[in-house]
Amino acid sequence: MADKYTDPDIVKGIKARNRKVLAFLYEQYFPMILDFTKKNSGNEDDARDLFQEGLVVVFEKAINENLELSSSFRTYFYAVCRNKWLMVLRKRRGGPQMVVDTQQVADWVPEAAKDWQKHEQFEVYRKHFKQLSEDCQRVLNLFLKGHSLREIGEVMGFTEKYAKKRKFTCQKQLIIAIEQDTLYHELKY
Amino acid sequence: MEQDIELLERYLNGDLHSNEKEEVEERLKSDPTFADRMKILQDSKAAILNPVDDFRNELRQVINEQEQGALVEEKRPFNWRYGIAAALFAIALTFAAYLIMLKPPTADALYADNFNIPPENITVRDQPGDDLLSEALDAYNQDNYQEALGLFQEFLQEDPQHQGVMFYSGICQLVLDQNEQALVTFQNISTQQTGEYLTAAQWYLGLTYLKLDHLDQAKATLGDLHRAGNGNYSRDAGILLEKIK
Repeated sequence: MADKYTDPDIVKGIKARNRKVLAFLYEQYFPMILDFTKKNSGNEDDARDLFQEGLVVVFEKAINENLELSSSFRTYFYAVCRNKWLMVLRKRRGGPQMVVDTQQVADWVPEAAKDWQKHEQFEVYRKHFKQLSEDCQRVLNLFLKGHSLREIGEVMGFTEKYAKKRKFTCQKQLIIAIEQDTLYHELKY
Repeated sequence: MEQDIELLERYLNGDLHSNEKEEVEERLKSDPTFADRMKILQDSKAAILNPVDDFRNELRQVINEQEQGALVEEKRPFNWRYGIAAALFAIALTFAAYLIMLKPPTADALYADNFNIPPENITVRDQPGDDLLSEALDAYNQDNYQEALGLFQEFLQEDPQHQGVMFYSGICQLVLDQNEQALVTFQNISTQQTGEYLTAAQWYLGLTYLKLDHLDQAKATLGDLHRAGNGNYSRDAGILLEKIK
């Protein structure tokens, strides 16, 4: 690929986890995120985390749906990171927070807020999934990958009937844990 | 709750009769807990199966590499008083950079460096099934790899030996991290002996082995491709082989 990437190349590269594109993004956009973080009570480590998590949001959006940018990638990425940083500040200090913008956000980027919110909600799902027993994680993983209850039973050494029961129990545990998470309710979109 | 889960799963799979479907839809409007549960069931597949942790790890590696590179390249002002110390420091940095360069890249890193999504170039002729193929290629061109894969597979049920469609199915599977399936797809193309996509399929077969960390098979496949000695894939296989060693 060429040294300079267009916005569609960037989205494609993130989706394909292309290291050259990721390195290019670091070179191009990390200074912007560092500047923003430092001017908003953060340090270099915060900026690194923010840059990383911002790109994870973009990656998740790109692999789940079509990421069609209504603004430049720079503006979209800045808006995603800005949302994430507001959440970090809220957690650290409590209550609504304000930030000093270091980029011109002439137009509000509504999809950035929505994509960030959806990603955070998925993070809540993942957190509770990882807290399930290893057994439950395997059953649900097989189920979500499209395996039949008979196949799940074979892999796990269960009868088909027990696999069905186990799957329901695990789903129930996951749903209850998510429903009891206050962050999940705050993030409803 | 089990009944709710079962009902919602049947609803999401489109397995309900129209009257049951209407009842579910009514309840979704009037019962927020029921609606929440549907959202959780609907989203949990993507949330749990998305390779977000893998991406995060790869990204962290790239950031570290970039920062180490920047550290080595950083220019320091010359100060004669500290000339010797500065020289020693520069030697140490150079040595550190040399050690970093000596460290062989991981299979994951090599895969990511070499994997690119090829643009599709299948010619759609006015033949039965070509509407489906056009739809599949549109989805591929719009980066809807999940949808494209489903349509390619539907097409392959009618024409299971279509090499081009097999090839782009394999690409979709790689993008979607269905690596074992991609392996089978590219292996199947390789058994066809001839065809427009044979060389490209061999290249992606080598990359799939690399992604799965099956280094011996990756070397063997790329070695064969390199020895075949024609075209860019053959040349790239040679370059990649050097890096794997």
